[in-house]
Amino acid sequence: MSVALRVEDLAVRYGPGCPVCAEPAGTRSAGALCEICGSVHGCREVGFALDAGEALGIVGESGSGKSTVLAALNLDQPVAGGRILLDGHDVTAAAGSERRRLRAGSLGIVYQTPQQGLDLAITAGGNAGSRLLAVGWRSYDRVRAEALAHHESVELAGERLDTPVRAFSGGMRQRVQLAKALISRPRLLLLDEPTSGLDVSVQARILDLVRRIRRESDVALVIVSHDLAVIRMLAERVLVMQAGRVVEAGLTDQVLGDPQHPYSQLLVSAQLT
Amino acid sequence: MNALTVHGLRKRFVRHLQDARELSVLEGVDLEVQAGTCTVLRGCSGSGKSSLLRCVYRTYRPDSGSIVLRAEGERIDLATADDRAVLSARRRLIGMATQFLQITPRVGAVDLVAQEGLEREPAAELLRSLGLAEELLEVAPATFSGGERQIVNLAITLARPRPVLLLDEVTASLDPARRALALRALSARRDAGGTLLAVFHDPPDHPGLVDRVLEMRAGRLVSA
Repeated sequence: MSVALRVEDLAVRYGPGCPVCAEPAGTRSAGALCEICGSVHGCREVGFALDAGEALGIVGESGSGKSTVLAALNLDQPVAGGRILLDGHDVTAAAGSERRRLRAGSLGIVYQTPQQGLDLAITAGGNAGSRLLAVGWRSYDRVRAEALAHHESVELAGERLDTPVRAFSGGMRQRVQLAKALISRPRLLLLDEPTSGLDVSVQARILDLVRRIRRESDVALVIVSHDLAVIRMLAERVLVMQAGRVVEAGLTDQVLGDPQHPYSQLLVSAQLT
Repeated sequence: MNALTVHGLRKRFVRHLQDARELSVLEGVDLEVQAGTCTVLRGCSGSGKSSLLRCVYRTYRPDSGSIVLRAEGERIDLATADDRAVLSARRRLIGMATQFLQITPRVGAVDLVAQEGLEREPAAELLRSLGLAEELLEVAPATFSGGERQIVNLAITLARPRPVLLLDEVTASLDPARRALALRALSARRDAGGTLLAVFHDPPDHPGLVDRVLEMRAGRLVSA
C-alpha cells in the first residue's frame, strides 16, 4: 500500500511565538496558551502517516486542536511549521492556483456545519458540480451526469438534484457535502464531526455511507469527532489530542480498551459512564 | 512449528484517574501454541485469560515480553510491532472473536459477513451452518438476541481465512444445538490447519476439538 498522506511536526500558531513557546512538551509551554508572548498554539508536533484506504480518527475535547489539524490538512489554515505531504508531494506551502487545484481535486471535506461547505442558495447539483468546474471540466452534460451519479450514491433522490440546498434537512445537507467532497475522487477525505447535531437514525445512515465509501474506494480518511463510538466505527487508528498536542496514538480498540495517557483514560471513562 | 510463542508477557493497568493505582493482570506468561492445534485456557474470572488474548491481539498494550506470531511464512512480534503492522497482521494472519458483537446499524447479517471478503452466497451459507434462522439473514443484527449476535460475530471471524484465531467465550450465549454447530465449525477450521487459542467457561464438549488445556491463576499459566 502507498502512503497517501504524511504529516510531519505540524504546527499552527496564532500569535508571534517566542523562545518559551518553542520548548518541547512537558516544559514551561505545557498549555496551548503561551504565558510569555500570549500566542495560542492550535496544534504542534503533530505527525502521522496514512495509507491509501486507511482511516485515522482524531479525538479530544473542544479546543484540543483536532479541527485545527483538519483545517491545516485542507489547506484552509496557514501553518507555522512542519510539512504536509500528499502522495509524497509537499503541499504545505501550496498557494494560488496550485492550492485551488488541490482543494478542488485531491482533497474533499465535510464540515460540521453545512453552511461552511455549501452554498445554501444554489442547488445540490450545483454545489457538487462546482468542484468539477474548478478542476477544468467544461461539458455541462458531463458535469451534470457526474453530479447526479454522486447525488444518488449518497442516497439522495435524483429529482432533488435541482433543489436549492436551503430546502434540505440537516442529514441531507451532510450527504450533499459528502457528494461534493467525493465528486472529484479525492485522495484524502476529511470529516469534521460529520454526524454531530443529527438525530441517531440519520447519524447511522451517514456512518453506513462513510463505511461503504471506504469499502468501495481507496480514499484515505481523517475523521475528527468527540464521539468515540463514531471513531470506533470508522477508524482503525486514532490520535488523542489535548491542548494542541497528540498525547496518545494507537489502534482504536487499544486506545478505547487500554488507554495509556491520563487524558485518554478520562475521555474513555467519560464516554462509558 | 509454533504459530504463537509468548515469552515473559507482563501487563498491568495504571489507573491515572484513581491515584495512579496499579493493577497487574499478567505476571510473566510463557506460552507456546503449535500450528494446527486448539489450546483452551481455563481459570476463574479475573485470572487473566481474556487479558492474555487481548494482549496477543494488541487490544491491550503489553508492558514487557514478546508475542511472536509465525504464519504464512511471516514472523511478527505483536508485543512491539507498530500499529500499521498489527493492522496488517489482523487482516491476514490473526483474528479475534469475543462474546460481544459491535453493532453496525442498518447493515444486514449477510452483508456484515460478506464485508469480510466473501461473496454473499458463501456468507449466507456460513451463517446458516452456524444456525442463524433463514428469515434473519438479511436483517441488521441490532434487534438480534445475544445468541444470534454471537453467531454473526463468529461468522465474521471465520469469514477470512486467517490461520490463527483467538476466541473469547464465543459460545457463551448459544443454546446447546447452536453451540454444537459453532464447535463443529471451529473443529473444521482446526482440522484444516488453523490454530485456535480459546477461552471457554465450560469445557467444549466436541470430541477431538481440544488438543491441550492450560489453566491460568492470578495472571500466570499453571499446568492443568
